[in-house]
Amino acid sequence: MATEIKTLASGVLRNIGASFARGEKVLYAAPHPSEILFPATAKKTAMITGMRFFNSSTGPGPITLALRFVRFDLSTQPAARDQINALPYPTLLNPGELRVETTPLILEEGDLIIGFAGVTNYVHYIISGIEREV
Amino acid sequence: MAVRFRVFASGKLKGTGAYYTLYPVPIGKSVIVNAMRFTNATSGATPATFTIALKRPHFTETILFPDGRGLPLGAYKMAVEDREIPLGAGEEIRAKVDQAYHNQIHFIICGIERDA
Repeated sequence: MATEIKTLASGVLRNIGASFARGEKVLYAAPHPSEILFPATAKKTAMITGMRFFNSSTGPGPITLALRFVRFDLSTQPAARDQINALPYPTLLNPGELRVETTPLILEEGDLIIGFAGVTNYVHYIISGIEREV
Repeated sequence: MAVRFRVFASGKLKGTGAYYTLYPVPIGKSVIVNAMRFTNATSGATPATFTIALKRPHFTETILFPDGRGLPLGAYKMAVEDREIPLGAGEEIRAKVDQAYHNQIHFIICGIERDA
C-alpha cells in the first residue's frame, strides 16, 4: 500500500477551448487502469494538500480561472461527465497575484481535476499532495 | 484494517426545503471528514442559503455547518469547512437548501474512511 508525497501536476493553464487531455484542460487524473483516456497500471487515490495559481501576465486586467472536479464514471466519456466547481467560477486572478488553496481535496481512482483560464498560457499552477495505492 | 482516501459525496445541492442525506457512513466503517467545500455557481443577487447537519440514529439533525440560520453564499463565492469531523457507522451528513436555490450550490465532501 505505497504512499507517495509528490507534485501531482504543474504547468500553465490553457483556455476553455483546450482539448480534454492531460496537460491541456485535464490537470490531474487519479490513476485508474480502466480509464480509456488516461490509462494507468494501478489504481491510486490522491489527497491534494495544496494548489497554487500564479498570474504571470502584466495586465492590464485580471484573468478568470476555473477549477473543477470530475467524478470517475466508466459509463460516460470523461468530457461529458458532470463537472463540480472546486473553486468559484469565475475566480479572478490579478496580474502578479498568487492564489494558494490549502483545503484538502481528495480524488478517488479515476477522478479528475480540470482547469482553464480566460487567457491561455499565463496562469501557472502547481498541485501537490499525496498519492496512495488502493 | 483498511484505510482509504474517499470522496464521500459531490454534486449540486438539491433545493428540497428539508434535510436530505448527502452521505451515510456505511455499517462497519468510520470516517474523518477533512474537507467540505461549497461554491455558489450562479450570479443571482440574492445569496443562496444552505445548512449542513449531522444526523445520528434516534436523534434529530444537529447543525454542523455553518450555524442554525444557514449560510448565505453570495454569487460566485465559496465556503469551506476544513476542520475535521469524525463520524461513526450509521451517522449521516445531511443538507437543507431552500427550493429557490435548487442545483445552485456545488459541493465536494471528502476525507478518510477506515474499517470500524
